[in-house]
Amino acid sequence: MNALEIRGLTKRFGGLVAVDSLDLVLPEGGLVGLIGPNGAGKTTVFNLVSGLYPPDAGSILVRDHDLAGHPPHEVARHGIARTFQNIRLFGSLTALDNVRVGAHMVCGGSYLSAILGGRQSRDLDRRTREQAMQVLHDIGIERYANELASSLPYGVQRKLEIARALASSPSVLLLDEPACGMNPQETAELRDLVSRLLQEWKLSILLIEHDMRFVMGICQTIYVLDYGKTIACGPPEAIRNDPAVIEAYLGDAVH
Amino acid sequence: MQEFLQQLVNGLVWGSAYALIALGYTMVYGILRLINFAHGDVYMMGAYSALFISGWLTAAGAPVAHSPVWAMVAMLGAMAAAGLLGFFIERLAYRPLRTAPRLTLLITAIGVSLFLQNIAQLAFGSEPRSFPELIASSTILQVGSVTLSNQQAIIIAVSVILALALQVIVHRTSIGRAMRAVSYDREAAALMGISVNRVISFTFVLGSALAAAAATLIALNNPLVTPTMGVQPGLKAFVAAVLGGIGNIYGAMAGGLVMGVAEVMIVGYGSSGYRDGIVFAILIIVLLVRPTGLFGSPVTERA
Repeated sequence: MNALEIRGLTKRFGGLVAVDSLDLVLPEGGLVGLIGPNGAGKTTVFNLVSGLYPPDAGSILVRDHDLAGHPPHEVARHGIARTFQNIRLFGSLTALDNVRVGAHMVCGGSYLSAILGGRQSRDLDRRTREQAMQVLHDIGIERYANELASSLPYGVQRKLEIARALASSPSVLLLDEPACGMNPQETAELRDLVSRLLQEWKLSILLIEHDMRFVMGICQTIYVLDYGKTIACGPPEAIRNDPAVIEAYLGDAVH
Repeated sequence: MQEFLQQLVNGLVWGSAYALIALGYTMVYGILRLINFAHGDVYMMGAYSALFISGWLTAAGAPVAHSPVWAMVAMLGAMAAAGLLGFFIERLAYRPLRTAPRLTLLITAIGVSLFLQNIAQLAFGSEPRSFPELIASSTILQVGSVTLSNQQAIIIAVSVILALALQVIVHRTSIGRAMRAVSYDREAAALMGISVNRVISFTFVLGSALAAAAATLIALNNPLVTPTMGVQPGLKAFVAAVLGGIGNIYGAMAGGLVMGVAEVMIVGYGSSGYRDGIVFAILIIVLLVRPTGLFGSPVTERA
């Protein structure tokens, strides 16, 4: 059973084919890396999968639902959560409220009942609060719960983005360059966190990352994009020695 | 001194109504970055709704005049009607332009404003109509020569209650959290599973309902209703929102109060001819000296 299956996904911007009939499979519980030179179309793939852009062709299958062309909030409700390359937290909300925004849709409840108050909505409010605190605790940043997201240190903001994504209890997590800007120690922590997400949270993860050592060290399968096309796909050892990949990264000079 | 205090009281009364209208401007701006120039006309439609509802209640034999309960019913009815109007304005006029340049949206807002004024003229006639007296005026508080009428007290009290209720909604409920999230980053909010369209609709309903409440409250004091009555209060509340820092809820309340007091003071101590001028003098000064307003934070463009 695959957590996410992409078939023939294509996106054009004017004359530019940003993603060219991409096929990608993320198995249940798997960790798949998406790498490639700058401008290869990696983030576009994420934007297509999470519903920010409608694709021009292709399908995005999650548990037999084709989510291609669905608006972002519906995609999120099908269990796909993501983080961003450039952190996009709700800066004017506290860390806790950032996570509660994510937690809301899981716990349900209508907006109207939230306003009218009543026991049910108060219980609901308490549940989202507890759940959000739990996530902050699990990620190890609960002591920042009541601070504004914009005032947090960079490394904590990165973790908070992951916490916010987790709050919606997703089945698939898209991580867009999570190690970007991190020092070696933070990167090591992140590696542990990603392993825990796979084992304890039973997530399936699709990862974009430029830090080759990081990607090669943890991914089971790696897809290499260049100019929107998959130029290689396979386990890390195979990718490392693939001539097409070396050429894409280093140019013709190698030959 | 006593005259000054009396003017202050009168100013706060107008100011609290401006504050309620300004909240609608500032919430919509916060969430769509749109100055909803039709907001003053939603206020006007709210006044007509309250007028008709009190008329129907009277016709149905309810003792509308002199009964605060029925005045309340009229106000809630007007809030519901205006909320519905706000919902449809957003749905029909603004939502199709969600991805259009902001200028397009602004011009559309002016178009909606003119449309509503003309619809009102067509449907209700251009002659001013007069509200039944909802609550008979009486003085409830007198300190020296400074008086506070029951109508004034009601206007201030109801405005404060509504402003507090809004605070609770925005800061303590899930929809409020969703509003703040959408206001900060619409795309990221959508990716967290928030239905952005619903949040935007809700914001319009809330803002429009507050404008209708302001209209009903003002009608206690100023019973004349005309199709263009929303223009001046609309502009003044807009300036109030800018003064407070547009997008900021506390700012809109503070700006509304300052605007009301400034206006009444200029009439009391200067000349009534400057009544509307002072508003725009304030606008120009704010834009020159502190363009982000009293409570506004510097604007950073996000990609």
